[in-house]
This record gives sequence, structure tokens and C-alpha cells, in this order.
Amino acid sequence: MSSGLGSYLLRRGFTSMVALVGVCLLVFFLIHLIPGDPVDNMLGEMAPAVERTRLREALHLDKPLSTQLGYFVKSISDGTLGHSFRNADRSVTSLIIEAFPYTLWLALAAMLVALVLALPLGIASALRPGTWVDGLSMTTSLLGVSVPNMWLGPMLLVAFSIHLAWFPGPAPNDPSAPAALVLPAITLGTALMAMLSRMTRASLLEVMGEDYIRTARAKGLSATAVVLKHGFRNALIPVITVVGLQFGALMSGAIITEKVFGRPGLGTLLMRAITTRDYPVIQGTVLFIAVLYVLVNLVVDLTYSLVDPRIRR
Amino acid sequence: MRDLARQLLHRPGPLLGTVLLVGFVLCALFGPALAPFDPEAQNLDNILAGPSAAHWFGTDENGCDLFSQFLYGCRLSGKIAAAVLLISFSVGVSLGTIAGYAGGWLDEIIMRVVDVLLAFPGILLNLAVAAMVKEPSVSHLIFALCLNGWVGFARVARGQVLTAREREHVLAARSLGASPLRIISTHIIPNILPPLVVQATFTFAAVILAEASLSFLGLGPQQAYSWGALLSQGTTFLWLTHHLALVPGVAIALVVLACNLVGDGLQDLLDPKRRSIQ
Repeated sequence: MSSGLGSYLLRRGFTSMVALVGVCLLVFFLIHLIPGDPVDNMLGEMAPAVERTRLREALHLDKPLSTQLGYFVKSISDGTLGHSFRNADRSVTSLIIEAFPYTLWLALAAMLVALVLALPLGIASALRPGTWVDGLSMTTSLLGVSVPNMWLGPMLLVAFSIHLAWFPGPAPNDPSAPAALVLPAITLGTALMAMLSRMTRASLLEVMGEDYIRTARAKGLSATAVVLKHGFRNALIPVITVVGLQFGALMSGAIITEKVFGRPGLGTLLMRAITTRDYPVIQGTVLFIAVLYVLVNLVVDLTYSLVDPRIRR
Repeated sequence: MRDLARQLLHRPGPLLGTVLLVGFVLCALFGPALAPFDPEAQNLDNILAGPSAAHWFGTDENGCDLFSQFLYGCRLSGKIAAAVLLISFSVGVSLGTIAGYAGGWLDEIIMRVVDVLLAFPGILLNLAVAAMVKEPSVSHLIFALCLNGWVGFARVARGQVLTAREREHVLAARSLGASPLRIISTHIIPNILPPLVVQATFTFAAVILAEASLSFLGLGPQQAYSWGALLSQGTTFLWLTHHLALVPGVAIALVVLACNLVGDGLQDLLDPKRRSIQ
């Protein structure tokens, strides 16, 4: 058994390593991906020659590809991820470290919102499949997956900030204040909520068909005890895994949520870099999010395999 | 397949989804012809007006007709989503089928590429690619969305081919000396189509959403009416009027909802295990 786990860990670690190397390479090649001359693409064809030359030199595009790759690898290995074009004293890493906590808190708050709403909805559905309770909660979750967060955010602002004035509007003075986090967290968490309530329902229905549930019932346990003690705990494993795997989706969803609510964070850093054509910051931020996502997935998978040995196929 | 379509339309959810999707396709095909106004025609005496008989969805900050802009946006979203779906489907199904059928190092390479592309959550990769161009055109956007759009199809196709290639009729064809190309095209692809159609409906929703998101973030095609861009414009006037943000948002949500309804319905019909749970 332990050798099975060992080989699983090794194999899973290896595929993650390959993915990480691939992610770095793809981020490096981002500049070259779109057909045509990168500098023409980035500046438009009308840009003055001085500016073109400056960008070409700054991105080392005047050097051979292997040298460019060397610079890129060096910027990763020295931990700076390069330096911002707009502020040469700042390394990209320092900008990311400054912005990341805001996005992390937002993502965690969104996860909390999603779990708090999804679990009761999913359980209620699974306990009464086919009834109006089930219909209502599954309709809610269907609407939740369909409503884009770039629209939900403004509508929440209209209702709770403009009309009811319960929560601060966009660009709050203190973005970390709990009141300023409520609407963004709901905006970002709704899609995850919808997905989780469906997962909870499906997972619980599946578990409730297992033999040990029948045994628990046969022992004369009450329906609630069967669901909460035996059903729910087992049904929760895949649900929690999905929460972990959706962490990356929250990170990329945060880009839009941060724009809607004028909040600082990785998304705002990335969007500002895009509008100011600050390529090292664009590449660094994208690389950071993707690497983080791969690592989080790895940790979630490994934890899952420890909790549920069936997964180590 | 025809039987499946009939069963699908007997259920209220998928039926509603189909009706919405047909409406969307009609708007996309004929929208510009139906538009009552030139979407660029300004009327500065009638700015930010709410819905009226002349302007069904009201007017924007320049007095342009929002309904006409909405119809043009429909055309753009439909065009981009159709192109991305077509390319992603062809590329994804081909690569997935090759990976599943051939196995070995070819499979290994294709699946590692898939892993790398899946490491970029949501619209991150599309965003990063579009950001490399100063003024992304429609084709740049299509390129950015196709870059990882095929991955879902490849995974579904590969998984399906892995089971399909062990079926008896495929083994029989192989022992009769049929070429791999013939086996794949006549014996495997037709049998794995239904799950791919499910994947296509969800991909369609994802592409509509991704395109709207990119346009919302200012990375859509310039000088074009896109729902995401209209929504972004609408949110800047949120404190004055709500209809500018309401209309494009509802439009995006309805198309995505329609795809989800149809996709869910199909999935339920195709998966007996899921159906018994329902």
C-alpha cells in the first residue's frame, strides 16, 4: 500500500514538474505566439521608430531566441521575474507580493460565501430529490453558473450600494474592511456556489446509495443522523477537492471582480500592466498565477489521495 | 441522434434552452438587417434615455440606440463563438482521437500539452495572448480563444476513443485489415459524437463568456459592438442609469443559460446513471 502511495506521489510530482516547465516556456513564448512581428503587434504599425527600437531592446528581441530564453530563465532563477518597464527600481516579484494578499483574501472570502450557500442547497436537494425544494435549489444553481460575474457585480452595486447604501461603492478607501469585501466576495463566489451545490447534491445522492448507508439505516438511526454522520462526511470529500481545484478559477475571476469594484490585487496589477504595455509585469503575473494554480492542484490531489486511497490509480 | 433531439425537446428546460439558442442564432444572422437604427447614429437631445417605443432598450450616453447595438453585438458574439467552436472542435477531436487511438509517446506529448494549457485557469491565457497586441482584431480574439478552446474536446475524445477502440465491432474491423483512418472515421467517430456534442454546448457558453469578459476588460475588437464592451460602458454610467448595464448582461446570461440547459439535458439523456439519480 505504501509503495502504491509512493509511486503515485512520484508520478503526480513528475507530471506537475513537466506542467511547470511547460507553463514557463509558454509564458516565455507569449510574445511570439501571435503571428507577425511582436513589436508591430505590441505598438501598432504607426509607432515611431525610436519607440520600436527601445521596446525591441528592452525585451531583448534584437538578440537570438536562445539569449532571450537565457534572460527569461535568469529572471525566474534570481526570483525577480524581471523589472517593471514603468518603474525600473521595482522587481515584478515585489509588485506581485504587494498585490497578492488583496486577491487572496477576496478568493478566500468568495470560497466561504460559496460553501456557506452551497452546502445547505445541495443537501436540501439530495434529501428530497425531485421535489420543489430540489427544483428551487437546482434552479438557483443553474442561474448561478449562467450569470456572468461582470454583470452580477454591477447589479449588486445598484441594489446594495446605490439604492440601499448597505455597502461601500467601488474603489473603497479600505479594501480589506469586511464591509468592502461582501459584494465582491458574493460576485466572485456565485459561480463556485452554483457548481458546489450541484456537486454536493450528486455526491450525496451517490453516497446515499452505498451499502454502509443501508446498514446505518437498518441499525435504526434517524434519517438526519444517517445523512449528517455517514452520508455528508463522505460526500464532502469530492466537494472539498473541487473547492481546492477551483482556486485557480477564483484567481482569474478576480481579474473581473477587481475591475468592477475598483479593488487592488493581482487582476488590477495585470490590467494596469496591459494598458501601460508593461510586458515584464504581464508575463510575471500570468506566470505567478499559473504556477500557483499548478501547485495548489498538486497539494489538493495529494491530500485527496491520502484521505481517499481509491484515487491512487 | 434524431431520437435524442426529440426526447430532448420534450423536457421543459432543454426546450427553453433550444428556443433561446434559436433566437440568438436568428439575431446573429439577421440582427444588423433588423436593427431599427444605425448603431452609431447619435442624437444628443436624447442621451441615456430609458426604454421607449422608439428605442426599446433605451439610448446610451451619445443618444445611440441600444437595441441596435445589442443586435450588432449578437452578430459579433455569434461569429466569434461559431468560429472558435468550429476550429476547437476540429483540432480537439483530431488530437484527442490520435492520442487515444495511437497511445504511446504521441499520447504522452499531446496530453502534456493539454496539462500545460489547463494550468492557465479561466480566461488568463486568452487575456495574456490578447494583451500582446495593441489593438486586438476579431481574428486575434479567435486565435486567443482557440488556443485552449480545443483542450476540452481533446480530453473528451481521447477518453471516449480509449473505450471505443476496445469494442467488438472495432476489433472486428481491425482484424479484417481496415486502416486506422477508416476505423477512426467510420467506426469510432460516429460512436463518440454524443458526448462531444455535450462538450460543444458547454464550450459555446464558455466562449461567449470568455469573449464578453475580454471585451469587458477592454481587450475585445476595437470599433465593434460587443456585449462585453457595452456592459463595461454601461457600468461607467451605473450611478446615472441602470439599463445600459442591464441589457448586455441579461443577453450574455441568457445565452449561457440556454447552453447550460441544453447541455445538462443532453448529458442526462446520454448518461443513464445520472438519469436514474434525477
